[in-house]
Amino acid sequence: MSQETSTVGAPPVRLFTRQATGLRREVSPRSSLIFNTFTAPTPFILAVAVFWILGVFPGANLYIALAGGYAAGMVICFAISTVTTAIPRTGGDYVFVGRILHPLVGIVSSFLYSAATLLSGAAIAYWAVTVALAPSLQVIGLISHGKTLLNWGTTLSTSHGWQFGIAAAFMLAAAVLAGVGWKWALRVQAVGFLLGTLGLIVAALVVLLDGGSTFVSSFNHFAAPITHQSDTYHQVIASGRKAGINLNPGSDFANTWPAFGAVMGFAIFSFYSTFIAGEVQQVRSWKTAGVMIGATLFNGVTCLVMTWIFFYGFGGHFFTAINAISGTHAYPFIAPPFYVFLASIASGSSIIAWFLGISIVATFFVLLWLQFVQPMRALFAYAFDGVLPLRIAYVWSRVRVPVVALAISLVIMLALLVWAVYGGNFFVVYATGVLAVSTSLILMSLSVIVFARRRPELWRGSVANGRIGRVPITTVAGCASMVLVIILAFLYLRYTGLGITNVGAGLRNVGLIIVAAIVVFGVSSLVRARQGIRLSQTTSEIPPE
Amino acid sequence: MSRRSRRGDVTLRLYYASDVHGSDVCWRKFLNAAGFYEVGTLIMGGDLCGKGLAPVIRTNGGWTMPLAGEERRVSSEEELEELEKLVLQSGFYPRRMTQHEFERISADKASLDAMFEQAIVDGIRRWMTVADERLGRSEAVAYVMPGNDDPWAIDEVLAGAKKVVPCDEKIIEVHGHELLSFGWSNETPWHTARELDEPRLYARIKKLGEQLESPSTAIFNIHVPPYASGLDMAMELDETLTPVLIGGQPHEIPVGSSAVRQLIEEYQPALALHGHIHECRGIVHIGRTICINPGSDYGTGHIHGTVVELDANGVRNKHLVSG
Repeated sequence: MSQETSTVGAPPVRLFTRQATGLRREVSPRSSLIFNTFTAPTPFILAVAVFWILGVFPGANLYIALAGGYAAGMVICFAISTVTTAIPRTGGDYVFVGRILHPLVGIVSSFLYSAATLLSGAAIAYWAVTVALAPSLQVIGLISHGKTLLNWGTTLSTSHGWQFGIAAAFMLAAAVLAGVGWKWALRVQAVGFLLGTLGLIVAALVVLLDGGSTFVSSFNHFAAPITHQSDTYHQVIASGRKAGINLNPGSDFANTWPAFGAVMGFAIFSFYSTFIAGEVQQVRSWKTAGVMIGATLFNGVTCLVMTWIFFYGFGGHFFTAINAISGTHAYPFIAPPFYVFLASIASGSSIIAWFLGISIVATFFVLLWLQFVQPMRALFAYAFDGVLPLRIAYVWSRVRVPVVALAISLVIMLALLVWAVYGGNFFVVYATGVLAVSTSLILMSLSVIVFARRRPELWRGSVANGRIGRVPITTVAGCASMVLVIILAFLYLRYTGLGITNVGAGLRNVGLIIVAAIVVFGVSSLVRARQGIRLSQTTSEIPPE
Repeated sequence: MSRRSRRGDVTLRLYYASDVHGSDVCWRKFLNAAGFYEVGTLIMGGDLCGKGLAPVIRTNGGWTMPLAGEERRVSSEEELEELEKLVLQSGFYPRRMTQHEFERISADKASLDAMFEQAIVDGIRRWMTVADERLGRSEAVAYVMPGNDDPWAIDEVLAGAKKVVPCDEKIIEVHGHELLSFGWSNETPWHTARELDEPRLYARIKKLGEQLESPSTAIFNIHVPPYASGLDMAMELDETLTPVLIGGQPHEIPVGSSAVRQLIEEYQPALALHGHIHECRGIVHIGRTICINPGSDYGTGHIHGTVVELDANGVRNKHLVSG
């Protein structure tokens, strides 16, 4: 019946297991990193966050912002991993917040997180067109002197109709990918990850090898037919100075603070790793935290390294200036100054321009697919628990996908895409999502803080049962996470450059989501009571004694 | 499902759970589910026994035991009892022993097997005592069967309980509904105690099915779920029992029983209750039969279950619950 055999000498104290269903070898933690790193892949961060920061918060110390943002991400990941290791099959924040605090609070937290993900999906679909596809077409067109591609890219970057159409097509394709099952979705994810990583490596090599004075020459040679100037490089710098932009990177702490917030808004989500089912103790070990924190660290280090490479290769003043004047009449090009554009200029190669364009579009597409996973899962969980009708949990057996939940997610995301495209400032969409997820994270952090007190038996049985002095580690980690999330929310409310241009509207939107959660819970409670069960009972703990 | 559930029309209100795998707290919760969910019938669908034995070794000045992947050292009896309680909650059996005994069982499989079996029997006996106490204070009845993972030694212990009704491979009338129970499974990579190939599984259950007087209102309590039902997806494993990964993620395949599926399609009972696959919580329809696998999360001390109300026509309401 048993499986353990003796070893020579005094054997270490360990568990004996018997032949029983489900006991199997451990899944390597490395195998889960791809999914985790894709919550904030480096190409996406470089294309959106870094260039956004340079444009909106010039003079910010990007290294401090990136290091701080990802360090904050690691703290938040650690905090959430502690309850995850203790309750390894949580089904997301919905379950562990509900179990530790109250089922209604769990639903509120989950609604907020799901809303944030749907908002994020709309923003990412929009950015896939305006930040990845359109600029890539323009870049390829410019580098290869292809007018058709250049015109396509220009049309895409200016026409709301085309932006919506292509973004919706991306969204539909991502939904189809989510709908055909994990087998194909994970293959596409793996290819996307590979392309994104190779794109970064190619960009890094190009900038390192062709940076500095070589880049200056390449840039001037490229720009001369457009600007009719022999030294466009220094002209860009002069334009930045003339506009009053602080071109000294790292010199303005006042701007570093919101820049830190901008990075945090992207970097803190690597706790959302794929659930690894198992009946052995690996899930309850520190490996769970390791996978989450490892993904954050990987993304953070690659971002820092790439940022340094860009500053080194393109020149700090130029890099800052070209992003600061982008979108103004002083900016001479059609394609925005994302790294794809600048690295392609450095290489002077249309092949490299094509490859970089494909890699960044692939990254955005996979990231968009990822945004369907959580809302689909959340809707499925609500239906299972009786919060929503059970038919929403219908699973198409052929591909094992909750297709009704997927369809609902798609419809909501498309509606939010309209807002993103036609709403004027697309960052409002993403920033509203960050506010919503901050509120959810506050609830999650609160769960972590009180975990040891509310669920002492689970806490004591987990690896996170240590104390610092007399205070449980989970309480310390939860407090640290709470502080960071409050800072995140404060920064987004304080600095309009981060996207919340109307604080009242931002808070109102979050409030509406909370009210929606309470209303849904209330209505469901009434319906379930007529069906013979109290809704709060469906996830409340049965007292064992 | 919006009509009012009038208790007068409901013929049976039951709570089903499965795969508690030795978790002491889950067993206690199972018993308390009767009062918590206001049901008169409790059904435990198999796999009661724990999978691990945690040696608690006497050392100088205290005890050492494995817990959550690390060695824990305690010096007082109070601390030790606290840790043993945590071990029991997780579905493992703590066993106090000397260093010499630990080395002996580490070297001798037969001794280890014997100790394991004794620990399991002691655990199930303790559970039956608790059940007799708690159910003795109420009118609820618990129908319990072993599953494929449960050793034969527990059958006698189950039969000796006063308030627990062993139901494996039997048909029992429960408030006007025939409860057909079968705890064996189809073949698994672990070659557990109660496994049959599909033809023999079909034959054994069919033999029971032929005794049904009213299949349309019957309840199938069969541990293994039907094949490709959506209730039976599990990780694909290679020959070394290592999960097969695709794109860094475990690949899932259906592992349920084709015999069970065929029998459900033939008899079309009102309700089919299943366990066995912990991760595959769900409710599906096979024809008119509602099939439910509430899943299992025993290792965290939470018990997944389902509350089902039946009337003369079949299933009136069903809810997945987690306590």
